[in-house]
Amino acid sequence: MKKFLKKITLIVIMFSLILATTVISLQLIIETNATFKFQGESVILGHSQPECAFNDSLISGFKNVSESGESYFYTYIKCKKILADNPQIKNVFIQFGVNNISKIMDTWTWDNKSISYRYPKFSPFMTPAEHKTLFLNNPKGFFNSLPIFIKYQAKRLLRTDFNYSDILGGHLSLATKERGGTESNLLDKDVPKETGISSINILMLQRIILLCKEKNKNVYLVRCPIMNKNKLFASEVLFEKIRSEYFSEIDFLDFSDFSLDNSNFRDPKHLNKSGANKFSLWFYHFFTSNIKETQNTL
Amino acid sequence: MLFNSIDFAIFLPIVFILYWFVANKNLKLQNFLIVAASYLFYGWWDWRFLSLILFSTLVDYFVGRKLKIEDNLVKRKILLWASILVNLGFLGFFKYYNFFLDNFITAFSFFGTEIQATSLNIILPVGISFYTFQTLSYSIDVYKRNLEPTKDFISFSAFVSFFPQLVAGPIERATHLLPQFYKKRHFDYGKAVDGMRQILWGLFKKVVIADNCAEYANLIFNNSADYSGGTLVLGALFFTFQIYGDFSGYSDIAIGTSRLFGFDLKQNFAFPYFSRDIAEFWRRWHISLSTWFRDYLYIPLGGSKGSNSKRIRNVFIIFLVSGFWHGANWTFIIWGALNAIYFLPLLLTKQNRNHLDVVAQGRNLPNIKEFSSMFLTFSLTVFAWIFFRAENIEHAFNYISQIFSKSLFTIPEQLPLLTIILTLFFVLVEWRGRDEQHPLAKLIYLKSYQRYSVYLIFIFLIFMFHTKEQEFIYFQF
Repeated sequence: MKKFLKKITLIVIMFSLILATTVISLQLIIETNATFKFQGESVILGHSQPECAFNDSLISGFKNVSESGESYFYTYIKCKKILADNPQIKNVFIQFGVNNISKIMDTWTWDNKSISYRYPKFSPFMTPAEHKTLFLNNPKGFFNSLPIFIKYQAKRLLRTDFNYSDILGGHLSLATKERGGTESNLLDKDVPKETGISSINILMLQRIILLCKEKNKNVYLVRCPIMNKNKLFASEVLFEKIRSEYFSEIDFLDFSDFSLDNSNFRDPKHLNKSGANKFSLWFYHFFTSNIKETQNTL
Repeated sequence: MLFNSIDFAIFLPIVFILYWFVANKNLKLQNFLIVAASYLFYGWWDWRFLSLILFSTLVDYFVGRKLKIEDNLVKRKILLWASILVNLGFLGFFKYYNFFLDNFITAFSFFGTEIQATSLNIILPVGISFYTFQTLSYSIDVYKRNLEPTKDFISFSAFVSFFPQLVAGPIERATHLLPQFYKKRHFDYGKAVDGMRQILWGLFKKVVIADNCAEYANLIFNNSADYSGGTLVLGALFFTFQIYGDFSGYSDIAIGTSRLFGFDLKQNFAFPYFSRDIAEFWRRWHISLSTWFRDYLYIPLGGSKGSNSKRIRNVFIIFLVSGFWHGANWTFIIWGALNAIYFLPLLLTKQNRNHLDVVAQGRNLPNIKEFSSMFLTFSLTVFAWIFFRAENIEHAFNYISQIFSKSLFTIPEQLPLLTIILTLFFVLVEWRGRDEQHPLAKLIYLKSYQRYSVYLIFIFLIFMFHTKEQEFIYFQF
């Protein structure tokens, strides 16, 4: 029995060493070589709402780096790299709405789907504490995403493809209406539930803001246009409470009641192509005439 | 709990350590630990169905006890039928209720009578077809006085619920497995190491081969109308290796795990795709089910004795029942019928026991005759698998008609090179080890550092391909 256990332990140790060496080597090589450089003085970060709303080709000097389903945990990692590699950035816009504080953001951070999609991409840029957070909250998902990480990063390494700006996200143009933009088509899932708040998401947003402040960037919290404000704002009171408690010093640009008729929405939370174009053109003027001008005056 | 899950990777060492270090001195405690571990293993999936296993266990245990003291033939028959009805009743309800209901409705509406009935939303308890057949073998063997009924309820419960083979076999006979629970088990180093090798091979088959092939088999079968004949052939081939890797992989892990605990389970697959005719294929594919049907259905019906019409009837019955055992769908019944048609010429010309040895034994390569007969048998099997995999009969016929179209000789739209290379590697390893219970048994002939390198390569491959915990196909049967 002793011999058997010894041999099994030996194999487990050997395999663990091979795995650890592979993972750590890949992490180090990628971390050292990866670049996130792009043009632009302003960036918008967040999930699918800004991803669909801001058509950055219509807003000069603006870069949309939002991605569907992204929680602030990953936005923070992204933000660290973007700010480090792009010193020209002056303004950082961050999506901040009702669902950004909701408990669902916990699953967007470490449920199996999120972890297996995002961990392989962002792992080399995470600190040990961030790895630990994911591991402790979903050890199985964390373990299952390791082979995906190895495959993904090894492929890039073999191609010597170190330009990681392709993992940042970008504007998503939704040409069609999914359910039609009418109020009667609102589904239950469109209405935020009182599920509690996501402490990790609030904490990570604070870190993003702190990081931007340390690097002397102008930070703005942005709420994208949404349909049927009353229904979707079931958690409005809680949202306002969180905002005033934690983020009262940060400028809040609330476009949730931006005037757009329902044909400009793909669904109640997302603008379609036409809506995005109208909003982006308007935002460009708003940005140049209000924000930029104020900054220049200062 | 799935064998290819992290849960099982934690569960197995814990049970192993408790079994050999805590319960080692007490046989009853060891058996009780097996029962507890098995119920936990099964309950991990859905604890509600544990009551079914417990009920089956109780019924068959008490039927066995009664059969021991009852000499009256009529009463003995009643007891046997009670066991059969309870076990097949559960199976019939959970597995076939909706199938029969839907077909009755269709049949009546064909004759102009509309029947209003609603199908039930029934969840099929995992492994019900397997443990039902295992407990039935106990009742039948006790009835036939081939086996002394057990007094030891814990041993009997362990026999029914033994976790390595509870949900997808091999279907063990009470005469073979139950006595192993009565005897003190001793840790056997050689057996345990070989068990680990078999587990490794089983995981490789499931995770690397079956799950990889499944991705493309599913893609091609689910969108068959969009693909050329060449791609559809490839889809059928992928499914052929998926089902083999999946099911025989499960059996390998089950047998290997049992060996860690000092048990011997019977070989369930013996390299069936190297068979030289369909009779040989059926001696090598899902052996525990084939022999179950042979002993408890085919032989009682008269087997291969009697007139030609009787022999033909018996062959059709056994293959159709075997098809129906797999699921409540006409596609499985056609698959069974097709195999009966393949098998009959061999039986009627008394060629069905031509190939009892291992193909090309002692040689590296088969000769032309062996190769061509293997190729023919394999092709027939692949063809039959199309019915097994198709959603319904119409889908199967459309799939086949599209294969035999002009696009048959076009380059497949889906050509996953990595999966093809891995599958070819798998076939090669299987060929090299075809005279063993599993190919990694050959590793004993290698030097220590070579063996360790092979282990690490296989573990690394399994790890790299293990991104999702995919269920085993046979769980649905």
